[in-house]
Amino acid sequence: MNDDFDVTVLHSLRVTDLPPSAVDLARAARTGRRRLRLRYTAVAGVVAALILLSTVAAAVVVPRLGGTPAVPLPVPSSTVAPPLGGCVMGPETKPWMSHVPWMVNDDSWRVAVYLDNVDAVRWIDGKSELIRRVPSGFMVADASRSGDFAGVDNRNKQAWVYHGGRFNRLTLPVDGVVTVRDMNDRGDVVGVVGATVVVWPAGHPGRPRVLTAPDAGGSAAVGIAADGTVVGNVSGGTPFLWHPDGTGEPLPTPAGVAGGAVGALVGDWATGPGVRWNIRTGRADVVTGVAGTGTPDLYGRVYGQSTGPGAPPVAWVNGRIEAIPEPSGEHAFVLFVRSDGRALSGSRSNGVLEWTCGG
Amino acid sequence: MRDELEREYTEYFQVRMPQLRRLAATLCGDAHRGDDIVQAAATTLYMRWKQVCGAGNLDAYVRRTVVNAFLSEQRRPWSRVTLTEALPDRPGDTAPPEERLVVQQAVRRLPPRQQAVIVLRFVCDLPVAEVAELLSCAEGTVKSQTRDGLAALRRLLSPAAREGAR
Repeated sequence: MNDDFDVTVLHSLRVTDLPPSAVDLARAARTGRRRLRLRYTAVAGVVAALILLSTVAAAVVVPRLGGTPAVPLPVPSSTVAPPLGGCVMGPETKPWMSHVPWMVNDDSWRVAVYLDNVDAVRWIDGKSELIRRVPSGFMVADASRSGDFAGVDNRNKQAWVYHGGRFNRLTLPVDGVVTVRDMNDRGDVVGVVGATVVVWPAGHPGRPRVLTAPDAGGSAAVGIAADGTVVGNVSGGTPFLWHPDGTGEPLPTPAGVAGGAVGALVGDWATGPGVRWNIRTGRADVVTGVAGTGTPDLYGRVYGQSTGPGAPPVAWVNGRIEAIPEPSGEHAFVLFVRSDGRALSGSRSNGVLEWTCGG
Repeated sequence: MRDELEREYTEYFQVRMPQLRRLAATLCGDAHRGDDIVQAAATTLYMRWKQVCGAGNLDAYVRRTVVNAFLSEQRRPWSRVTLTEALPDRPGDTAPPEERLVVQQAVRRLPPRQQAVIVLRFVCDLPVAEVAELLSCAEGTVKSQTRDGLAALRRLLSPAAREGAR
């Protein structure tokens, strides 16, 4: 192993043989029953104490929100992507990236939000702002171009959207673990509660909309487009699209592609392993030369690691592969793509690497 | 738990046990500790089985519980007893098992969630979206944890770091 670190060394950690199982389901059941009895006893005690202490009312205010207009981004007029125009390494365009592990940003990188102990720090156009009174255990999941952001608590029991200077709790329409998956620029939030896809329309945290799946196999959202179109997967991995009116249909699988779950959505473009969809036209294209699920930009260019030797970073542009440079003697990964494709961020041997593309 | 639910619970785990044990063993790097993790997850799931059955994507929920059990176990002090301040002796190029040990020790020095992300992405070959689902976090978080984890691994496995550990 040398300094040119190759992630395939991690394959040596794959477990091929397991010894006889030491897992005892009967013991799990006995322990589970004992803990349930203890819990019921504790709950009964708390309820009795509360009755004795009379009633403490907690007012839950569900505010009506006004939407914050997002600064519009240029909308591509064609589904044919412009040339990438070459990428050069540096300079660093996201200064917060080099030292912040728990950070999210909107697709255009105008807004970034991270948690600093108990407070949140929000960057808009490079200016930072401290946001206090963050809900306990809050983990930010996504941000919009207008500066709103959403997330869940660290036990995935509650979800919030930050809008208008306050955290507003998102009403959960069904029981289950909640995750927030994406937020579009007008402030719609999409998430998953249990195995159900839920949209909280901008300005209405108390009015969740459940998106139904074609069968009982469960569904998961990946992203929400500017008009409220949602893409995700149903039945354990079938790519699916829900229109803004709640109706849905499977995304087509192009000939020659084994099929696979949709994994990313930017603008009108969704990607999965070896495939790219335009969610407006319904067209599906085979993406060759990019390993796994690449990250699209607004123009439909797809970024990732090459399927070729050494797996260098590449971009797929209108069916052709364009190289993205790596530092001499090092291996680099493209991890974040600004939605206009003019800035990329990733990792190298000693930390963060940035690229500027398009001349 | 009623008899019917208990039977469903047992049947479910008997079928899925090999996959769950493999997932846990891969995450923690040790088959025996992996079994402890699956045991803890099975106990947790027993207590919630009625709700879990109605959750829809049962397999995803169960896998997430195993990952959470791994993360909880990592927070306990005894889970780190095998960690050392320095990496083991530098192995020769022709000694794959020792190389595996070096890589495993380096991965175990990462923070728990970073460990989980690196293992799920590059050992289990799961896509970013699926790792985000398993860890109940945003894909951006998976990506940033990937970046930081890989950078740390490169440092830990660099010739200079390994020379210093001898």
